[in-house]
Amino acid sequence: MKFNFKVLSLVVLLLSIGIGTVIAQDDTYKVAFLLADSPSDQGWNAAHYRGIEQIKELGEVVEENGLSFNVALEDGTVLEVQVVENIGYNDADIERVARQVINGGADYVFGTWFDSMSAISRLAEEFPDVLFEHGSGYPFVASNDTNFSTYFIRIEESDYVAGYVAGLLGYSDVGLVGTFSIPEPVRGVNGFALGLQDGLAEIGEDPAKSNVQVIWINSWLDRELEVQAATALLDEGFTVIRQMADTPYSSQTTCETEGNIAIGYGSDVSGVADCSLMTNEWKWGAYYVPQVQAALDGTWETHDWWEGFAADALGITGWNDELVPADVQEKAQALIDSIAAGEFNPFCGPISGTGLSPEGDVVEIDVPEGMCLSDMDQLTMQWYVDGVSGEYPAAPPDGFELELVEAASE
Amino acid sequence: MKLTLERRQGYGQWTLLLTILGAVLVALAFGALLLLIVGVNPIEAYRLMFVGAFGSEFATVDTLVKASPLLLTGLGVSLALRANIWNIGAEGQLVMGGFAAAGVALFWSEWLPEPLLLPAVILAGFVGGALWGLIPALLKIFGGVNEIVSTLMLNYVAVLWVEYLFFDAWRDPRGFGFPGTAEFPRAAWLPRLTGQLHIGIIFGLIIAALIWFLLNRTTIGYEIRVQGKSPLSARYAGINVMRNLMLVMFLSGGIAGLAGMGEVAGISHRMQNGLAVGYGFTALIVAFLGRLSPPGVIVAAVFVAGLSVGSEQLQLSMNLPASFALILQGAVLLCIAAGDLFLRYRVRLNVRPPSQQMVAE
Repeated sequence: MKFNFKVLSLVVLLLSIGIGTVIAQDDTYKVAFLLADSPSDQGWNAAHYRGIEQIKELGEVVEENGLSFNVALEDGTVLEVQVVENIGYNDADIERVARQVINGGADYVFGTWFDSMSAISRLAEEFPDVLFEHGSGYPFVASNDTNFSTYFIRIEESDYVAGYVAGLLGYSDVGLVGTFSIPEPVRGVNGFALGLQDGLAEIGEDPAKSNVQVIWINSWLDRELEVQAATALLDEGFTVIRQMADTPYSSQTTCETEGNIAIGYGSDVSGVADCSLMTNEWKWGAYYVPQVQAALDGTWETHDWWEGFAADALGITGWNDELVPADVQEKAQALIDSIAAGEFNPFCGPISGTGLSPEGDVVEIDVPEGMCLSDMDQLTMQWYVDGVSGEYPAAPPDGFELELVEAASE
Repeated sequence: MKLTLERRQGYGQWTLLLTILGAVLVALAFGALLLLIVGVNPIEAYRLMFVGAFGSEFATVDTLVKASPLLLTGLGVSLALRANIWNIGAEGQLVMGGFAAAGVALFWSEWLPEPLLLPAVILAGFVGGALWGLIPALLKIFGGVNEIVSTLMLNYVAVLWVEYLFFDAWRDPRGFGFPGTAEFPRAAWLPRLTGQLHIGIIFGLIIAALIWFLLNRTTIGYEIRVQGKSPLSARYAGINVMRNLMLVMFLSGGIAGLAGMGEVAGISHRMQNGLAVGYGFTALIVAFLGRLSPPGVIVAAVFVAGLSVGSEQLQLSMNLPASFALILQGAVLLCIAAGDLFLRYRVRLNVRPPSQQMVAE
């Protein structure tokens, strides 16, 4: 009986607190971010959440509720930012949650992972008064001209920088833990290998001797597979491991043995991997903050946004000052500046590589001096530059050819 | 003085109803305690959950979309359990049904007349799951392999097989390596009732009726039930236990296969990541909640789907972490499963020594 009474009084107390906190708000704008997993994943979702939190800069945070928060803007509007985590990868689940978010009054909805693409583009047709964005999608699902935009970050620019740093330090053999052999990660692998070769050339080593060995784990993040792949590469004799999975477990595994080197990816890994040189990081806030501002201002327009260092959407973090001398860090910064200024494009010729033909034969691919891969060439990249080894990505469809564009004249 | 459990000889409808209601109340009270600990008004939370699952047409449709694969896999699992066969492999059978349906949808449309494509897809879904379900039955008959182990293990084989297909062999040739098959031709799409709700749920209802008829109105059904209660006496009675085992696993797998067919032909219209999300495992919960009876499984499937859809509101409207919904679901299901104890046993407070009690009775 005593116990019941205690519980009862607790119920009454908390009930009254619960009712007290519900306050009606008039002028609100609601933005919803849908996440596949949890921001506590130290990877992809953590990176998105870092960007989402930057939206707080637009005003004063008046309420925080778990992952979600409300921001009071100068003009009196309350910006509600709703963050929904752990939605998963099932199409029907994603659509249901997105629909509930819209029914809950969302004015603007972001789908932040590949698998949400179909649901977001379907709902954009169904709800013309709601704005939609999809990140990291298929290259041929493009914006419409009313309420649906796509966005992505040119992470491969920073993959190139990561490779360049490793090259400058003289590391020529690198094991790489890759995710899916689809264009986005393939671009990243190639960017890293090209950077590695240019770094080696700069210190007088023969870039042709470098080797980047890829293992694809067929998952964006999977602790067990990441550890397995890293272990397999270390067993093969690699001492330098390039992480490209969304979570840091391959780097962590690498650093468990003294003398190994890891190169982090996505979200700063230095906290869990003390042998990491640095991490090339997503900076989604560079997109989220201005987009939300534009929606509030009524200047929002549809587009297919694809930017990198130039838009400050990428960063290098977690520099390991013991392993990377200051002059190397400075060179990396100079490289970043020239990429940001549009003076340097990692995907300009001469580049040679190999890939599969639709018939399954290995064919040579050549980007001559003075020519560069077009955006579409990069979005459909299914071949390796020389110096990368591993299972080939799937062949492009029949009749596929590189477009190539001329390099910007000096 | 001590508490003892006495086996009941049977129970009436009222006992059943009271036990289930009691279990749900205990579960809700336990959930309320958790909600209070995190500082949320439990009554408001439960109201939101109910509204989220059944409060509007949209919500109800969403719940039914989720209920449809749970109903089919739950029926498959419960049919096997009636014959005392533990089919832990509904997940794999669902996946293989999806695989066979996808194969027909993708590759038979070239030569099969259009009106025949959808029936072929549906049939393939059933046969794909059924044949996958038959393997553990054959292993048990010819190798004495325990079906709990073989059905469980075959799940992994099935999931890896379809992953190989949509990552590699059946990947959309125009997809630049993106995982997932090409979209099925429209003639292979399962008709939809409203929103994402396809006719798979109607299959579920029809199959529930057929299973009820099979078990209660046919000789084979009677044999299956005898076999389920006591395999030994079934054998003495001259029942062909092996034949029934094969039949039950064929049907059980086939029904789960229809769930996979519904997911690919009714919802995603292609085979892609997200086909194996655990419906085949939740099916066991659905089957037990439904007390292995077809009408019970229908109610249980809608209840579990509603719980899962409704508890999303805890995150969407109350900003609780997503894992909280899972904890609450687990608590509710555990309490209901525990309530089973009170159906099968009567709790008695003994004041007299056991020997005297026996004399008294």
